[in-house]
Amino acid sequence: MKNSLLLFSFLFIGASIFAQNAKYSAAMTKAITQLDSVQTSAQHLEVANDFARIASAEPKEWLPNYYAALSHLSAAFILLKENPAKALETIDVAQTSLDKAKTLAPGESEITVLQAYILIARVSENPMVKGQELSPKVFAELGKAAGMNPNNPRAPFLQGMYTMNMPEFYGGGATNAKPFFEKAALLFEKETPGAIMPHWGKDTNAYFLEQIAKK
Amino acid sequence: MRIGFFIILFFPFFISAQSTLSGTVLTTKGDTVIGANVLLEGTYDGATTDLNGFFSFRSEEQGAQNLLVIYLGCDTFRQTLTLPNAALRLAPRLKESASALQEVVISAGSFEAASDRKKAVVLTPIDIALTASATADIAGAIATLPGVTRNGESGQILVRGGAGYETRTFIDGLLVQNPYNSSVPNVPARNRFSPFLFKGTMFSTGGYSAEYGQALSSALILQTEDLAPQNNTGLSLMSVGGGLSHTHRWKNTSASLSGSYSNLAPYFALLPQNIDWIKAPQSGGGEMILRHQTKKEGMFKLYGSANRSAMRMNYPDAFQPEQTTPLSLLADNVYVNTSYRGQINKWTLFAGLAYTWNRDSIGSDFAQNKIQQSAQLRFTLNRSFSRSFRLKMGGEYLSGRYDEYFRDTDFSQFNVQRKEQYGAAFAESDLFIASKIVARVGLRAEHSGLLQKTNLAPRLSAAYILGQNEQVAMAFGQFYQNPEYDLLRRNTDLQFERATHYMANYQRIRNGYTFRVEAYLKTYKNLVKTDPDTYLSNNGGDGYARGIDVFFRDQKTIKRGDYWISYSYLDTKRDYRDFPVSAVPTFAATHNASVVYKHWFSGINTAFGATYAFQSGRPFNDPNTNAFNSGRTPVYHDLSVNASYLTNLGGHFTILYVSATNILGFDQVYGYQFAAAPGPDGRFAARAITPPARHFLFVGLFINFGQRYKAAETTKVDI
Repeated sequence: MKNSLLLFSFLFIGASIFAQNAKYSAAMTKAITQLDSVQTSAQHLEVANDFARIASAEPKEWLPNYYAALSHLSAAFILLKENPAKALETIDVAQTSLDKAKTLAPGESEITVLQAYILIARVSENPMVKGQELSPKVFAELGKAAGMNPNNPRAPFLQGMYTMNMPEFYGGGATNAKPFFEKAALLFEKETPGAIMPHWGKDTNAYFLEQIAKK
Repeated sequence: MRIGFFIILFFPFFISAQSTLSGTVLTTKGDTVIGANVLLEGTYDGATTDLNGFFSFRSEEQGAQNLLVIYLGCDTFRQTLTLPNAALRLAPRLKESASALQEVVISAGSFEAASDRKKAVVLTPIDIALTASATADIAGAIATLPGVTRNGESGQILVRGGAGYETRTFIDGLLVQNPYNSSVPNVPARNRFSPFLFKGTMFSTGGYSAEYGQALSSALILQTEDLAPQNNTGLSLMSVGGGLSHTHRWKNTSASLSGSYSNLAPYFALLPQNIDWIKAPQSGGGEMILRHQTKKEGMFKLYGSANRSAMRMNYPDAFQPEQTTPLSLLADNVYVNTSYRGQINKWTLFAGLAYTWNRDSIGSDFAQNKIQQSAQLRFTLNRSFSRSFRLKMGGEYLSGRYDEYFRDTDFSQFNVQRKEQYGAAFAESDLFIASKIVARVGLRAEHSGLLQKTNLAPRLSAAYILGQNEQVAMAFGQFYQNPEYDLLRRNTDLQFERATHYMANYQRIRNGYTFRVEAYLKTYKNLVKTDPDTYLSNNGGDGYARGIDVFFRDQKTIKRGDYWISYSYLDTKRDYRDFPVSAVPTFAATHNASVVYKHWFSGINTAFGATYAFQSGRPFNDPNTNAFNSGRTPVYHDLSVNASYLTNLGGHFTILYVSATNILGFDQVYGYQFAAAPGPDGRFAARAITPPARHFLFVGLFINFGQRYKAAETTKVDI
């Protein structure tokens, strides 16, 4: 009887861990679904708050911090047009969340890609001034991300996007960007991300390839 | 026993006690907080406040819980709650973060913009390069800001009724002895330093920090770049010369070496000049920059340059302006600036050493040789003690030496040697007196060994924060400066010259617009006068300057366009040097205005710039009248343009830069020079002082090898 009780309580503890995991997955799935559909900067910040709460409840998981950073960054890109000063502050918040993710999962390719994306946001704020200083860092981070995981489609995707927006005299433009989008497209096809793993970029990548083909 | 165990184990399942938490989040001022994150710490439960600051969420947590409210720019709110509680109403009040002290820059007098935070700068190197009329000269771009009176004949920065020597230049906190290339009167000089050496140019028109001394009117504070971002080789081909530079970047170190040569002879051969050149200005020099980042985020910097320039011309005779005398200038300059910045516990330490050696040899119907040397040592320590209190203190020591040798045609000659041992100490604190009031209180003490005098200069400035990036500010300060060396030739029993500044300012920087207006009063005491008979110097001079400066910059309304408008009103009089009475000096103009426009045409990869400058007539002294300095020059107008075409030359990033001053061909007169004795008609003959040429055209091609990001290579970057 004692043994069966022990077994039972083990099962119970297992079940409670399972319940906790289910709660985490459910909360993440819900927030990620929202992130995929929201439009305005305020909505993005609201989703960022959701991820920040999950991060506070799950201090050992890197994904909530990663998504909090991604949501803040998405908000910042919208804010760059509306309120550049607030956009810069929001980028700083994204960086703080990403730094937490980095300590939890060092060597994670997705985090390095997002680091490059944060730098791109800083360039976007004032390309004439910051482009020269930060462009080498953007490419270095993307190169690092591709090295950590050569199958990560978001590294060539961002490289394509950044190259396309870079002036032609600097080695940018559609022609130079195309090989990166093509490489990203192949990797996106092969990618089978888990439900809550990063999966953004596929549609945008296809859209850019389509635009380049039209030219 | 067993049953008890089960009950304890399953307790959470049996009692499903749910709480509802709701409320409205306001700031301590009573403003609604939209988008704040309200949560129970360590749980999934929480909500974001809506447009009314309202939140509501459910929780099944039990016992003591921490409620947090997190919002950007405010201190995190914490409250301990005991759950369950079926309907818990909360009213969190958020306090705005005082950490803003780091971000608040008191706007009075200082041309810093808080929008770029700590790297607060008003002009970036690109701003300077793209300002038409500046021709990539720092002083030329600063001349488009309010408070500055254009001075085409010297090319110097003259601020709020102050003479050229009253503006001092500081590089990484260290005083620059010779910021301009050597020149002769009425031939404008350029700033010695390329704007691209600096990540920030801060310009103060008065009331500046106790950190800076020996400047009566203005401080131009230049901060050098940190590590160079990448390897680069640059080649420049210009209508007036050329240059070559190479930069190498290691992991924590970067070094660059550059050389340049310029010769205006081919250019002068093509375009007519007002000056009768015998030998057009030539100059050659080299520059080295070393940067090293230490393990503990410290930064070591070394900059060194050496330069030689020469020119020879037929110069209008000072006493008979219709005649000319040959005049030649040979100038040599060596400048070294080295510094270290790092953390020691909670203190930020800066230590710097600068050395200058400068020789100007002038040959004419006289010979003059001036050698000026100085070595300056400086350190500062600063620390934030709390969110509302920051302290900065430091000291400096300067050893200077001035040697002048003069020989006239009649073999009268003199030698002057002056040695200065100057020491200074300062302390300054930034503090929040109240949540909306920031003050900076400082004191500076200086001792000059040459003058055998000591001074104590209080500085005070304060800002009342009206809102984000909007403030009213005031500043007061006393500023002392040694008399210039050439006034100490005969006697050194003099005082420091002294200026007292008072100013009030309103500034708003928001959404791509900057607006500021500032009113000031500056009084001068102990200005050096020279006795017309004995040529002895005394401190009997004084003066005042008062006025209003207005600045408006708009980087938003026009897409890819950026413009600023500056206007300065100046009322000033002084009695100094050889003035017989108190009068408006020749370098002061009542009205100064500039409109600077820049536009980026992305289709053709070209940045275009235009600057219009206006200056009301400046005084000149006409000996044909009795009143001193009563003449007024014609109004000054200038319209200058430039264009930078960015392209790719054989795979290398290249800029083609073209600029032209005074494209509408206005007659520009800076003043008049009169003969020492009247002519046969009983009148003193006059000669207009004008720019060296009606237009200045400049064409340059700047090629950067290795600055193209080759698409294929970037994926192979080391991990």
